[in-house]
Amino acid sequence: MATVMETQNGIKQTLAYPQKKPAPRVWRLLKAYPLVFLGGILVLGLIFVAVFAPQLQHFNPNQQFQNGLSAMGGPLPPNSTFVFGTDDLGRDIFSRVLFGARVSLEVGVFSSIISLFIGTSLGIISGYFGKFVDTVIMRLTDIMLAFPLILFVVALVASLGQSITNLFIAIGVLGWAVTARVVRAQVLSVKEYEYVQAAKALGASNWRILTKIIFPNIIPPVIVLTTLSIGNNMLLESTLSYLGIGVAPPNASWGNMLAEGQQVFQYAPWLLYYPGLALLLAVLGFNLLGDGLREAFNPRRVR
Amino acid sequence: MSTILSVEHLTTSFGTTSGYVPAIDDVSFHIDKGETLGIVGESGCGKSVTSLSIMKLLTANGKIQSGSIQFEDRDLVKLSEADMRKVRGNDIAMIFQEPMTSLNPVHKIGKQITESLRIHKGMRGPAARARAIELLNLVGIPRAAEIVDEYPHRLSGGMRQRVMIAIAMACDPKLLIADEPTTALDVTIQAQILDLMRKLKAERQMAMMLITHDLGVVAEMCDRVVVMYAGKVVEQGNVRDIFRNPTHPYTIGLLNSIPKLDERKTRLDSIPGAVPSIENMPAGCRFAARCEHATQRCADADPGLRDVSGDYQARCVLV
Repeated sequence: MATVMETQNGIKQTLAYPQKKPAPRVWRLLKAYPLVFLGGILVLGLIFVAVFAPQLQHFNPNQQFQNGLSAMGGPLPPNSTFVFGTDDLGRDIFSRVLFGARVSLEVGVFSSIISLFIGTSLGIISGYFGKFVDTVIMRLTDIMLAFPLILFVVALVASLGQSITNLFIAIGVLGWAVTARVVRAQVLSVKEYEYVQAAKALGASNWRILTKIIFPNIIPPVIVLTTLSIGNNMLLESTLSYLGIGVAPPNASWGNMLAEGQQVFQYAPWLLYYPGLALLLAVLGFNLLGDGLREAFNPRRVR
Repeated sequence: MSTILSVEHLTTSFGTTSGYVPAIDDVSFHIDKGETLGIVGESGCGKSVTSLSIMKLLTANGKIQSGSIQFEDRDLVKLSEADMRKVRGNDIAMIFQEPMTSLNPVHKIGKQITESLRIHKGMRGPAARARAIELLNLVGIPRAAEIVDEYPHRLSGGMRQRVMIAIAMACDPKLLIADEPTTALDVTIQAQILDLMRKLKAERQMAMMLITHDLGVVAEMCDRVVVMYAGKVVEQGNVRDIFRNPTHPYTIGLLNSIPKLDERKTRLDSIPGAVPSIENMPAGCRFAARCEHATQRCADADPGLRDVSGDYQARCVLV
């Protein structure tokens, strides 16, 4: 359908290309990358819940309520007072799930920042300098990958002492190997571009080339990797708390809530439903966001 | 005229599984102030290795084994890496062959142009930006004030090569090394870029080392020519002498292989054979195997560079 346009002197002119009003930018992006949006909404929801947990809570998450137990002394199913029900100690599950989000996000984000920092630094140095340095760093990475991460983290938390801070330090310090590998591979390809040679010809130092020339070129995969690693580290936190070396009771974590709920799930399954669902949605959110971003950053994708 | 760069007996080798093999062997030439020196030769003859040796930007397995590179009053071979960084981009700038990959895709044009100003002169902020716009105007880029904030992917090959020239010009270098600056461009853009380089060179009294395998470019741009073959200088002299009376059979072959407008031919002339392998260089004249005038004498010993006249030398027994 051609569009007819009237020019200033009153002559009607047919435009060669029909001018269709472009769809709003947000809508186009949404259509192109639906996963990013779904993941993003889940992640934003999680952040909101974690930040405003004290405002959203109905009760103190660690308080044991007299009216939170049935006449038999068992947990209460979801009702108008306790919307997610109570656990076998009479605590409000809703509030505990809210505070569990805090712990999960905190551990996931901080541990990923630590492993991002270590992994990126080692990966860049390894890829750029090559030779002996590369061999040493990559063999170290192989060793890290060869050990089961969870065993390593258990050992480190056990020796550092059980606290949330030690938990994310342990996960972060031990979880950099995959990042280092990916970053190294990126650097190996980026450093062959002529603009790196051109920067050297301008008198740029190694430090300058690493930080200002090479690093900006490897940011997209690093963002994807970090997003995925936040999800994984949240899952790892839950696993550790479930095993009893993560967040110490009575403080709530989705992992230790699952461990506690497991004992009574035959007659009170809601103890497992809500923390399990929360964990599922949170990890799913980060994975969808990561996968979606990987798609979005893929230069070969047809837009 | 005073000499700005003087390369003496330069030998650069590369480490291979069979030990160090020289990519360029005993290369000597000089460039005077404000002069354009052309370095010609076919692929793999050592043109680029020569320029990278001058910049000391050889890959990790490359090594300058002997010789000196006198730039003004310093010997670049003896300079430390830190001192060498102060020379690169400041005194000697370089333009590369591939304008499409020579610009960093993640930084804006303006930032890349002022990179050397930030490194060498500590220039920042609005002053650097103003200088970037000035440089873009200098290399003939329209809408310089807008282009300065664009990313490289929005520019065409010719525009990018202009930007590369602007980057090289930023610190007012005394010597510009252009490594096949127009090879990746189409012919009309080539002419524009060469015009621009010639204009800038004249305005700034800058010396230029032009590496190319395009003899047309040499005839157009250069004052003197160095012809290289298999890592050695085989002929050097004034551009006019070499084009009118080439002495070395290799140069003659190169000139004959250019198609001429007034001849009808079904096959173009070429030089038979191929360049000998770097690991397997003949002891005598390296061109002997492909030369129609070769005798036993050529295969036995390298004839050495011989004076043809004043500033004109050729490495051939026929001289």
